[in-house]
Amino acid sequence: MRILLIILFSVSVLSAETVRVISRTDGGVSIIYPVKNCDFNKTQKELGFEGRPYKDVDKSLIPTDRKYRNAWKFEKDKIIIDAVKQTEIDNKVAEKTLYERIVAIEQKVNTLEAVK
Amino acid sequence: MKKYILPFLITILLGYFTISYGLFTEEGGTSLATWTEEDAGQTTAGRQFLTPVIFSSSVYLPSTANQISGAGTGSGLDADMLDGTHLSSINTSTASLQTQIDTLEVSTGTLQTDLATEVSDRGLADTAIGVATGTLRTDITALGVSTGSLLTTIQSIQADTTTLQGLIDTLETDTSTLAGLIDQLELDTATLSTSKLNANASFGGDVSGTYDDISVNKAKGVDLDTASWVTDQYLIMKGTYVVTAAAGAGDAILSADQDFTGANTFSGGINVTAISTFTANTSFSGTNTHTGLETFDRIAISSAMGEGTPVANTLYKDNIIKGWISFNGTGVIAINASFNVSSISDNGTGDYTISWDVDFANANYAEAGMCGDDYLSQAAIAAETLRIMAKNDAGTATDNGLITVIAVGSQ
Repeated sequence: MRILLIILFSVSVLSAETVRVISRTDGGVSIIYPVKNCDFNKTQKELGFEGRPYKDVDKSLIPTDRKYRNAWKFEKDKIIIDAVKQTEIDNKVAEKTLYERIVAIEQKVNTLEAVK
Repeated sequence: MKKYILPFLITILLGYFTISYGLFTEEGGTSLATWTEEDAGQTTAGRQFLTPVIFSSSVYLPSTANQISGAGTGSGLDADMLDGTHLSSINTSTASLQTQIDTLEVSTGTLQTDLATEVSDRGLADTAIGVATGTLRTDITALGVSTGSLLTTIQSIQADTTTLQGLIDTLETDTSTLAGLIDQLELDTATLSTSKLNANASFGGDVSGTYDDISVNKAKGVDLDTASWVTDQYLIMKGTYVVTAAAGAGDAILSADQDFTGANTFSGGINVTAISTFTANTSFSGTNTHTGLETFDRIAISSAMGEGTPVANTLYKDNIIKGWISFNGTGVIAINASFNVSSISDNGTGDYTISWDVDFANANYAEAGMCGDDYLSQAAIAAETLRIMAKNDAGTATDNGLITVIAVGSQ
């Protein structure tokens, strides 16, 4: 039983995939996903984020819902959603939806006028 | 009356015995001897009797004894000379000894003073000196024990040394024997070396063996094929070979199926017309033609296009795709496949940065990509990274489930 637990633990550790979460100066978050021969520090420097706060976490801790991806921020070693930016995103979506509805109405009006 | 008769008789008897001795001279001094009146003034056997000596209740010296000096010098009765040394010289020696004793006492006093000063200067107490002395004694005792132990050890080492010397002698004998065997092997090897491949060696069947180097130098236009080369069978070249075909009318032709598993060099005009496999670091530095189906593990292209005109359908090191990636940009970023990509960074919605494993020489490389129905734009480019953005028709950044990028340029 002990051996089985050790094997399971080893497999879980080996299968873990670490990514680096970096807090940018604009308050946003960049996440480095390693592929091959990745040096986190070198990559962070190449991305222009040298010296910025970061945390290496397991990939499973990254949110899968990217609806408010641009509102993500790094706080207390966690990725959370900035409420202000979230509202801005919602407003943009609403604005876009409204714009699309107006365009659709305009198209219907144009069609009616053409029929008339 | 009677009381006077007995003393008188005793006096007479004493006088008889007393006068029986007298002084006489002889060589070297005087001595006592029996004496009679007839002997007075006579010389007998070198002795001259001088005078009788009469002893009674008190010593009576005759008148002739008054002729001897006070010290008795010359009388033969000189007491200073009885031990052979004159009193005056003894007195002188005694004074000298007394002086030396006085000097020694002074020196002893000085030494005691110096010792006291030394003890005081060094801050030593009598007890400390006593302890130190005791310690020294203990140390001396321990040294004695150690010396005994060392002696035992030395004796043991001497015994071991004798044993080792015996082993060394045996080894030297064995070494000598081995040296003889090696000499014989070298002779055999030299014989084999000269006999294994002569100028026109040929092999009619499969050949296996290990050769340091084989150099095949053929004349112009002669094919390195089944008939003229080293084998008419399937050839496996596992070593490092140099195949040099002389420039001229024709190229050397490798027309048999070959496996080149060693680090071979083909420096001449070589035609590889058969199905051959090159699995090691093989170098083709000349203008060679491979018309067969050749298999290479990897091919390193060393020539750049340069300023000239490229040869059609020719690989150069700057027309090879140096990196590419396929990934899913939705949810948690997932890489499907890639080449020369060390990481991909998620910067935001539709915003990604590719980091190259082996960087480009500079930022002057070309990239192309697709992302479903959306399009990719280049946000930033550097020798080490490429930042791309996936956007929809409205120009808004958007995540995409399949994004692919390739890059070509100098490294």
